[in-house]
Amino acid sequence: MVQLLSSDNETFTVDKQVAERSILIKNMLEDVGESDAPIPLPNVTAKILKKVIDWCEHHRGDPVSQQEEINDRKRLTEIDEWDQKFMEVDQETLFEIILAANYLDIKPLLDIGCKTVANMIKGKSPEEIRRTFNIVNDFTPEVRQFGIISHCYFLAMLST
Amino acid sequence: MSTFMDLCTPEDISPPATPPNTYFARPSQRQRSSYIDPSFGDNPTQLATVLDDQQLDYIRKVKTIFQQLTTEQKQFFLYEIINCCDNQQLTFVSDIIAPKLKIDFLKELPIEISLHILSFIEDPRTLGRAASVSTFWNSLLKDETTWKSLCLKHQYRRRNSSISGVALLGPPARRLNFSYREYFKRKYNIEAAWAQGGKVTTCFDSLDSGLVTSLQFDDEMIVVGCDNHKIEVFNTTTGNSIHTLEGHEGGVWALQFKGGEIHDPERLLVSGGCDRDVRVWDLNKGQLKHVLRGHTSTVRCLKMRDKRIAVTGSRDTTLRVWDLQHGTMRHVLLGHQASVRCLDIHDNLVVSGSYDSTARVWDINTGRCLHVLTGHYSQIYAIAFDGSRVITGSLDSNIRVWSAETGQCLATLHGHTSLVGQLQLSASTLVSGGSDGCLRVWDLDNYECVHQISAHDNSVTCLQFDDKRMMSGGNDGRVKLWDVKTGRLIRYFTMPAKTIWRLQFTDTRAVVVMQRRRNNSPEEGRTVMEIHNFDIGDVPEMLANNVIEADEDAEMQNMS
Amino acid sequence: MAMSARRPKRKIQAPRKPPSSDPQLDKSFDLLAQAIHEIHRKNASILSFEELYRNAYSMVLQKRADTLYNGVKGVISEHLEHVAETEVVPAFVKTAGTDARASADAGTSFLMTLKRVWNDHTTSMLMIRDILMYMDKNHVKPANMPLVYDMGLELYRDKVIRSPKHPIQAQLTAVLLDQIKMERKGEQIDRSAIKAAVDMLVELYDNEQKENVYVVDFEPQYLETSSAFYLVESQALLAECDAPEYMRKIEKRMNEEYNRTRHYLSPVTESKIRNIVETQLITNHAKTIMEMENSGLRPMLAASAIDDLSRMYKLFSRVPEGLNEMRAYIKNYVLELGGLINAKVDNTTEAPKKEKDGGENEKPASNPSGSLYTALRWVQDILELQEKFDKIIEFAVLKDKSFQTAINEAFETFINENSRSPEYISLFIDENLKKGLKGKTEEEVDNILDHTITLFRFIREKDVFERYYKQHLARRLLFGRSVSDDAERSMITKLKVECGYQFTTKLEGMFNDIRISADTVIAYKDYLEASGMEKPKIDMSATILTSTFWPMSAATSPKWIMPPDITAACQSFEKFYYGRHNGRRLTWQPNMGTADIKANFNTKRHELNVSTYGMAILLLFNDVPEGNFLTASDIQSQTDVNDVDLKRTLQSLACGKYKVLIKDPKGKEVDSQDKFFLNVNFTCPLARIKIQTVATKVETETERKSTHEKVDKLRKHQIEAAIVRIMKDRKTMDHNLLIAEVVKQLSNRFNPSPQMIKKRIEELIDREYLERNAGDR
Repeated sequence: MVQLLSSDNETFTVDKQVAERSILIKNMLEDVGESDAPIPLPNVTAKILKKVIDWCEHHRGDPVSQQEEINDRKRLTEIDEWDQKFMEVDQETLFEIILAANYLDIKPLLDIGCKTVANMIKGKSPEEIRRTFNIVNDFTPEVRQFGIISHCYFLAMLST
Repeated sequence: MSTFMDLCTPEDISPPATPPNTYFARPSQRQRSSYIDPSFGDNPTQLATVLDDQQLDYIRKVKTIFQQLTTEQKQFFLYEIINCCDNQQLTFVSDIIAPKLKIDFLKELPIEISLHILSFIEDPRTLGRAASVSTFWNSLLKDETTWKSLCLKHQYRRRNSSISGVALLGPPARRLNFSYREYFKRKYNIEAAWAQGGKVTTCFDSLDSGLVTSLQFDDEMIVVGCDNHKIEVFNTTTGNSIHTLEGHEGGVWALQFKGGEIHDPERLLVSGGCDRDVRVWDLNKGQLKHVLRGHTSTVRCLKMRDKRIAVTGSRDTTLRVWDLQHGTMRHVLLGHQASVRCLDIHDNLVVSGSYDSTARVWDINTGRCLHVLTGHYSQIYAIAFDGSRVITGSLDSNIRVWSAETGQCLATLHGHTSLVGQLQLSASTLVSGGSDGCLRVWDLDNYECVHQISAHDNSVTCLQFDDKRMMSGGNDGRVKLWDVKTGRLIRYFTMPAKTIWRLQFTDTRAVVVMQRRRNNSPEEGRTVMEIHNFDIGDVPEMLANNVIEADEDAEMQNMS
Repeated sequence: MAMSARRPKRKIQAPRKPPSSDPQLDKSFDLLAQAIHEIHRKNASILSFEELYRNAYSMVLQKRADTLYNGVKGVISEHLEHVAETEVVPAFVKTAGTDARASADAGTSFLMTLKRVWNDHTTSMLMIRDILMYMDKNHVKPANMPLVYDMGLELYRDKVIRSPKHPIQAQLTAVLLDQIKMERKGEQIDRSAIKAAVDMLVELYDNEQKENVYVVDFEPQYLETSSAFYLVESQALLAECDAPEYMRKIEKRMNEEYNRTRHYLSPVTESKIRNIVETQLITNHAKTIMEMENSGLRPMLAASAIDDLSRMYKLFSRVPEGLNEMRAYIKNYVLELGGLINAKVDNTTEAPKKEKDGGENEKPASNPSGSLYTALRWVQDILELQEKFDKIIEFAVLKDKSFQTAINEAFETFINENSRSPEYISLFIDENLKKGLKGKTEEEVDNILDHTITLFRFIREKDVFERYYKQHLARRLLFGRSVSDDAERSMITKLKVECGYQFTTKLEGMFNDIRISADTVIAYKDYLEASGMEKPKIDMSATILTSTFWPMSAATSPKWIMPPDITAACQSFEKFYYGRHNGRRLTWQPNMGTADIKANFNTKRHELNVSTYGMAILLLFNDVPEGNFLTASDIQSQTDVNDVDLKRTLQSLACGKYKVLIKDPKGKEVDSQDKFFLNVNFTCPLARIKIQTVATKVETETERKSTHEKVDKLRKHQIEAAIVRIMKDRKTMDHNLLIAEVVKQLSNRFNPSPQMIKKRIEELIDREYLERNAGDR
């Protein structure tokens, strides 16, 4: 068993196998050796850490694959049902989960988070995208005009 | 000294309450700008109408105190205030809060993660739209890694066409200022232009009204052989005539040129026709180099192996191997009993199809006939050869596949209901066009017909395909563009004509030579050449409309 | 609403600004630098992994990855330079070459120091890499820069091993080479220290050369010094060792080098060093070894020193040309020995000639049994030689085909150099099928015959052999001298296997004749009984030979005057025979028969078994009064036997062991005026005596000549037959091709020379069997 300490001083006890889904923790345990002291993770709050641990628990048996497949359609679009539900959170939480997965080096979780964001972008017009993410349109008026044309042109050409 | 603006601008409302952690993960404080913005902050006079000085002072104090509270205390305070709100105020609060909780992911996340997110988007349209969201997104989307992976996904790599086997438009990987984005965009634009139509240059009167028998073009020159004894050479970009090669005393029935590459700029053209002579020309200069005599009847077909050797087939039943450099004859290939109608070359072997219903495999170096391929029971009209397999198409409506090594017939492909006059072979795919107007796509690994397309209402006169698309022209005057993988029609390639003589396409261009009706006298025809250009780039003016030569505008209206 | 203008400055946030000197980030880096120092000081336990990882992570996120990378690089670089100076250099071997043992120890301790430094470095690098893993994955890898660990290796390579300030590389190489040199001299060294150093060099990589540092920096020097070492070594060994010893030393060295490479060098060196040793020790001196007096290849072969030969074979087979030389040498040696064997023959056949009286015709060799003895000796010698080399081939060169072929070629050469070889071999077989086989088991018999067959294969003029074999077989059959029918048949079977049935049909025919004759004789006896005719006085059994099978022909059967009693018996038989077989003609062969004569001497009655000629001569004495004599010429005129045979027979009767006749004057030579008396006082313990004609088994020169003429004639016919056969098949053919084809077809009998064939072709053209194509030469 391993103990993880969140930034707001909450301790979580997890199975070693679950914790080692995080490559960072895995390396840490290897290099530093086991000790009773909990591993401090000042970058991750308790709320997020709990979510991450939940995910790792659910996926504890998954094989860890190393290869990158560029043309894998599955990799691109599909998220399994449980993960989808898992990612139905507010943007703040999603954001934090992505950062945490990145920091802790849990590639599958990072991928799922990114896919979720990608799916939020797909199929929307620029204005809709802005609304989704609360982005200000900061093109200058001239650029805006031309930009629209050139991008619209691109769009026009792209649509069959 | 804070001002009203400071007081009431949304940015002022609470920085994050977390302790100042200098080495934390979050790269930045998120811009807590709000999409929807109450108008207070802008207008101090307006503010003055709502609150008086004392109240403003009080509010300022509260703010200061609030900022000094602990997290729990703040939460308690907020809880109390919210409980004092009525629904309208709650809605107001909710409207302010909601956007603040949204995050500009691509901007706020570390850049490697942002790019990782983008790598999950395959559809360039989405990326196009995303690029116009904000300047930051725009710059992010210019990042090369995104486009590089897109290029890979869309497989914009080197491909081969059935006509010349020359690799088409590969990414010039070594150029210094090479941009994947630009490259992708260009390729995508070309694809789109193919699908919708590119820029068309039409040449009306450069060719007489006789029929066109042969066509070949590259990036600079288009060569057209005609029944009127002339060989016309045009500029591919403008459509203007460069030379007219005269000298043949009969219709030119076959021609081919080689050369014109960067390492080999000289172009050598070989032509043959009814006057039984084979002529060798320097195409760039437009000068005749040799006249090769020997055949005793019309030269019906010819192919160049390279710039040194060409093989011609004639109605005099012989084939002849010519040395193009010295202008001499190397061998006479005797054996056929009737006119040699078609031939194809690969390395040191030449295969010929004849009206005597046999095909033969010959060795170019020794002039010996290696095999006689018997099996068809009628004249052979078309032949294709890739070095190991010989494909023949015959009047008996069958296509036969032969082994060039053993001479055995490997398979007979049934399906056409009349003469098979067009054959093209690329790797394991064979496309045939017949007088029944049908196009058939065959898989030569299992000898099955993959697609059967009723393409034209009359004979198929010309066809070409590569691994993406297929173009066919028929006696019904139509040119159609097909998706070679699905067999579906993509579009009609050009306005209808009387008959289509010849067509050829490359990755970025297509040339069609056809006969159109004259407006004044519909029975007469005029030969028209259309040059389609699909690499038209990102210039807004050149949108997907045909550019028509001004004075022909009216004519176009009258086209059937 | 232009929001961008309104963003106030925030003290608390960490802005995402383009890389510039930011005190907070510098602090981050300082922390990391400090941590690296602690790691180097082996104080890692006081550090917090997570904190360091997080710092590195932040730096990357803030786009300071390059700074981080370069900074780390700088720190490690500095550290390594420091280490090189303070730890490695002081460990240099100072006392060069004073005391071997001392400098070896110093060398070892230098290597151990280096090993320690290296281990420390790799351990620290692993830790550093783990801390910086985020940067490695997300920044370094995409930018195609060397990963942190690899960067560490490169720095080590450049700052320590290849340090520009200190000659560490040179020192290291020198120490390693020194150690190896010592071990080669037989000293003990610390192998593990060297192995550690080698492993280190193997792990470091040289990007330009695209090989590891071991291959680039160390190996070439190693190979060079090794080469020099073995050059000297080979000279030294040659001076003090003989061939077998030298080879043993070579083997030892090779094993040693193999072990060395396996234990503490890199496997890539194995083949290279092996090459060097082989070249220096074997290739360069192969000839010298072979030609060493008293211990080289020749003595080894002479002594059949299998072990030594086998060692030489194994060693020489490692180098490309080694075996060729050895093989050629052996072949020459075999040829030499064969020549000696041949020379013995020439000497003995020469010697008798010297004893000839001047001007006389050739006489049979004065030591006839000596000639036979020579022939047998010759064959025996060759068989022994063959056995010797068979053993060598099997055990020393492991049945190497090329060696077998070479030796065979040598055998073939010298066997055929002796023009009498077909005769000798046939004689040998003859001997063995007569007397020699008594007392030997069937297996032994078979063995000997097998060996003889192998010799037979070497003969080029097989048709000559056939001729002799027939002659000898005829004698054996007719004189009943073959010991075992089975053995004879077995021999013929073997010949059939070698040459085909045509070769042996006639021989088998001969056998059949004997058998049939036996039946015929029985039939004759029955016939006599049945017919009730008067039995002839002489009890006669005839052996009927089909003339085509047997080596004598009717035309050349010697003439003689048949004694009258004999005549009657013969005629009776003839009558019987002609009655049975129409169209055949019988010709009596006096030189092949034997007769049993009952002779009454004074003391006893003896039964004498003599040749037919002998019988004729003795019968004459029936009419000679006692005490009278007959001269040789008398005898000649009365019997009409030819000179040679007459003399021979007289010799056998008068000069042999059993002197039935007395010759006056005494002595072996028979002149026409010599007197012959019946030896009435002849005594002998045995009742039945066999008097054999002294037959020279070995042909004289004249006999040989005549045999060869006969053979030649036969050959001409065979060539012509072959030509006709070929032309019938091909209709037209090119001259040279025809010759080649003829040679091919006749090759298993003899080797016709092109001239012979050409002559035959001309003859055939003359006789209009062939025609030249118009226009050809």
